[in-house]
Amino acid sequence: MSLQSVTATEVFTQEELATITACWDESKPQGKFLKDRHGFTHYRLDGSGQGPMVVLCHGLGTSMEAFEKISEDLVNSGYSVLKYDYYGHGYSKYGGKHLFFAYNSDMFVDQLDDLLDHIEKEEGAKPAAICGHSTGGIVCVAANDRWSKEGSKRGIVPKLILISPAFYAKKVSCPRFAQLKLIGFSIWKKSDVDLIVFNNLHSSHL
Amino acid sequence: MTLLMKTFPFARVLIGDSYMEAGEIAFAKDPESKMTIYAAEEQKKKDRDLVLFGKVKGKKKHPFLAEAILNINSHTLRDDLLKGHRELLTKVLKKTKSEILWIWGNLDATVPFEDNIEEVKNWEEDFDNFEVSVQDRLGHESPYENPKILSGACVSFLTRTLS
Repeated sequence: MSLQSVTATEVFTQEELATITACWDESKPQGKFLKDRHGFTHYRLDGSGQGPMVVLCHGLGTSMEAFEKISEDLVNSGYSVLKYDYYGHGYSKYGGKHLFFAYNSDMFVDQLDDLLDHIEKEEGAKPAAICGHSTGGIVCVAANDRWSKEGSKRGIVPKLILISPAFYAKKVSCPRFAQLKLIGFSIWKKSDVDLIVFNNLHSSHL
Repeated sequence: MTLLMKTFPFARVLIGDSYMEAGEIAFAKDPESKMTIYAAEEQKKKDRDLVLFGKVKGKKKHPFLAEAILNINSHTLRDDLLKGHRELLTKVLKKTKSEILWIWGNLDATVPFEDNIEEVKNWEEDFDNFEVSVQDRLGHESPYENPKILSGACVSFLTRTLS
């Protein structure tokens, strides 16, 4: 598929854009938008052309905003910094018809791969390092695994920085809300996988 | 779970509730006083989360976030998938020459530091291209808690390894 720069009004309905903007204290999207294979990615490149490019991958439920200060420090230290939002986070949007989809590590890597293709084409920059916080740590490792495979169009990124990567989770018996609602829930449906996901929501700051 | 959320959209409120509940341990707590070390930063993130999950009167929730969190939890972060992610890390360390720095706050309770540091330290011994940087008195939300410490560790690693 061809990657294409688009505007916020091509990505969101008026209502969606107004709602998201309100969530961010009326702060309009700070970056640009790319139409990629799965949807629309909001990204921002700071310190372009300045030095080696560091890509920042945020954690679950946050956005590129989480890296605002780290990004400033890296730019002040001579690096260019690419940060972006995952689908459904910040100002990025999944392009499919449904809100529920299989958001697995392959999809994370597809999104990053497309974004890096676009940045390489537009800015001529290749990543020197990827830094991921929590869920972002999984993205970094999954990306280098794919890019290390024979026939991969992209080579591995030489440096990875994993900040509290989500490779372990706290063992929980049951979240508090689940304790209250599990009886009703189990009448509706009860399977092992569902209970794993249900319990896992308690670790959802990963 | 997804079927439940699809069928009963009102149930999606549980996703935000559990995300915020999980957030109660995401910021480092002083082991003695049990008080949050970076209280102002935690409050700021809580306030933002309340808006994002539609808990503030007069404000609509983020239109996609709760569903995206459930999608990621179901397909990437499920407990039974985490072992596979760790195996992928050791595979990448073996197979590639990429240098990997793992930064970990010693008060991280979300990705529990105490329970797992030993295994991660073992990788440091097993692989020349892997190092762990333990940061004192930081929790899981270190980019919010003390970004200066993180950027310092990142720049130090990049300067040393990219030169």
